[in-house]
Amino acid sequence: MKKLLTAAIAASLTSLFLAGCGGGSKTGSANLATENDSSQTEVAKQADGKQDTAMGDLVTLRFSWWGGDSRHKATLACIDAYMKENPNIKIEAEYGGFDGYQDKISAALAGGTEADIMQLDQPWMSTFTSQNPDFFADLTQFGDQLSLEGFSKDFLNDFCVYNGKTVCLPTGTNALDFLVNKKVLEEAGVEFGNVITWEDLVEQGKKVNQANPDNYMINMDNGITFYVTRIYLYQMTGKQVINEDYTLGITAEDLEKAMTYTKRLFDEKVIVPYEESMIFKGAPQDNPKWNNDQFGSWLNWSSTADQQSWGANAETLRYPTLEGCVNSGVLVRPSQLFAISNNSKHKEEAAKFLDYMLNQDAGILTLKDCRSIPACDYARSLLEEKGLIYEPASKAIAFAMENPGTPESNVTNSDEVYDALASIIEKLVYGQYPDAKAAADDAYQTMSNMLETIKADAQ
Amino acid sequence: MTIQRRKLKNKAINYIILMAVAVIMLYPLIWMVFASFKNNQEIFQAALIPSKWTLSGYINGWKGSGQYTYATFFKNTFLMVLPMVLFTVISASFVAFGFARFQFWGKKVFFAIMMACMMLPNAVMIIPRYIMFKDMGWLNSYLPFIIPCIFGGGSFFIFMFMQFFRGIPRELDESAYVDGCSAFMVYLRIVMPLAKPAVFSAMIFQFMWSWNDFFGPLLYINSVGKYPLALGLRMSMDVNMSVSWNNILAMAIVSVLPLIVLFFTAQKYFVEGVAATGIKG
Repeated sequence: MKKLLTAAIAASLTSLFLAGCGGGSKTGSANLATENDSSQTEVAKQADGKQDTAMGDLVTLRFSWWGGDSRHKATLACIDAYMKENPNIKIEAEYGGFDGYQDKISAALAGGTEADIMQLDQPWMSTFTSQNPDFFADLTQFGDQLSLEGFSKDFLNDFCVYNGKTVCLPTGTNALDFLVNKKVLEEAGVEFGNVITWEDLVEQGKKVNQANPDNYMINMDNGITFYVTRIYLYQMTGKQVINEDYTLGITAEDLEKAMTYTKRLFDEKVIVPYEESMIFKGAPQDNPKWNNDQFGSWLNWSSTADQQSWGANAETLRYPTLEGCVNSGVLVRPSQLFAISNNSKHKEEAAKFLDYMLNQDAGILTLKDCRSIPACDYARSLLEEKGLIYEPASKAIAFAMENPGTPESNVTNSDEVYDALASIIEKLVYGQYPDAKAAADDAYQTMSNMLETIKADAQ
Repeated sequence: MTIQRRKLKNKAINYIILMAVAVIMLYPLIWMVFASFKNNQEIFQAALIPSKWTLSGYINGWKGSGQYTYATFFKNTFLMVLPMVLFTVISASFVAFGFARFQFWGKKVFFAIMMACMMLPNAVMIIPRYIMFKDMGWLNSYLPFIIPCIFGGGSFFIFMFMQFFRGIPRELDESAYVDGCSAFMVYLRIVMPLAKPAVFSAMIFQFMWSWNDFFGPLLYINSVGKYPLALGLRMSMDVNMSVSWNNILAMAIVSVLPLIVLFFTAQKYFVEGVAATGIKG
């Protein structure tokens, strides 16, 4: 009995102690918050005489993004500029690295505590919008505050419209890019017309190696599966390689043609042999020959266009194509997306700030290309005019936007299937198949078997 | 003579092997220290020793991304970690004392629940805990980390203390009771002083884990002004952008210094505690 009593007293004492302590640290953190909010007091000071009204209308927006130092600095500068113009708005920046950002956003969305404005990645959208179609606000409702005029309708339809609602806007664009070194091409006598066919690429490209046996037209590792074989297939068939229902959209014959072409690039010494490129797998720009004017070009994403030191010799050409193809195959995708939370209490104000970043001169000029080349036409041309973006990269996007390819289907684990295709192409190039037909048949079988397994796992 | 010589030879071989292994184990740390004094361009080059020593990584790194310096991140980390360590040691040892020394109604059930908490995979608790702390209005503060520690939230530490207390002879308690000591005083005056190694192990483990914890702060802390070091360090790392590795490495070294200092000052007790409780770090 006595023991029980002591226990009870001890328990009540501890809880008292805890309550006091809990309260204490809570106010402690509140103090901390106000300490850090020196910008808020600045805002209030700026409002001067109208201090009362300004404080009354004070709207706080939370804005979260991931990135590196340069993006953080540019975005913080943009926020500061906006808050100076609009003293009644306070924007709280929540930023960090890419690690764990998706987990954080997922948990926040589940708990309804997400920031008012969020930077998101395109591959997450289908999951988020299928979890709850109402996570994000429909951006078309803010006609007055947020203009969608500058964005290509098709581009928005492909990447930003879910369940009939435009839930996000692209912050920037990334497109397939055929980056060439003019000096190397001129020295070897390579000449391309305005439209470059895959045939041209072989016929002209082999001159580089003929001029100097150490040099090659294309510097790429086994990523060719994506940049050559798959794009070739898209252009040839106009279909998806992997359909949403886990079947192959192409036939073994299609594969054979694409693989025959891929092998020709190696046979005619247009592309650097695997023996050399595999040393620099994943980072072909690390090959010393790349900056030593010994490679003519690569096929890659426009965001990598600045990974060279060729100076004025760097140029973007139109992506190689097949004559008369329906689907240009030149993929364009948003680098990231901005969305507004449906839980936000100040959606209009959030939309206004989005408009400031994406459509208005002041915002565009402070952010520059910290989120890749802007997707909005006006922003892109403004930055180009001022010479603030890397020209070869923005040219790649301009080319791609003329006739963007159908976006690839977003099938889970499709990477594994494409990896299998890559290793079969590798074997073909090394001469381990009698001909391209044998390789294509093997690839078709392997890929459809893998898709069946994935489909079974998914169900 | 020959036996002595052979012994010496064996010893020499042993030490050579141990030293070789030590160098291999320490190499990443050594690399990190040297790389932090290099220019960013030089970091991924082969040479270990910088061609030109520079402190720019430390100077620029300390400034962070512009809005907050590492002074803020350090202050935040201490604000979060020190209360956690203090409360964990108090509450875990208190609860463990109860489990180790008293028979009470439902002891087995409570013990089973405590063990179940320890076994529960962290991943299943993320969303429920997040929603609970959200409803309590504790998001964006350090309360989700500190409050559970006050309530014996670290079941691992309770278990650790229990194992240690079991090794302390009951006769000591009993002689104290005979002299008219209360149960609380036995805990405070008899058991705890003897459990110093366990206290130090708990302190070091909790300090290390919460100091290095990335996922917890990532979920619960939104304002950059409240970020602890683990979040601050990863703040400028992005997949597509050029990363100033020298700044990050320099700050990584600065941020592990307190851990290293703590470990070496408390090493004597720590090793004892690990040996006594049979728990490996």
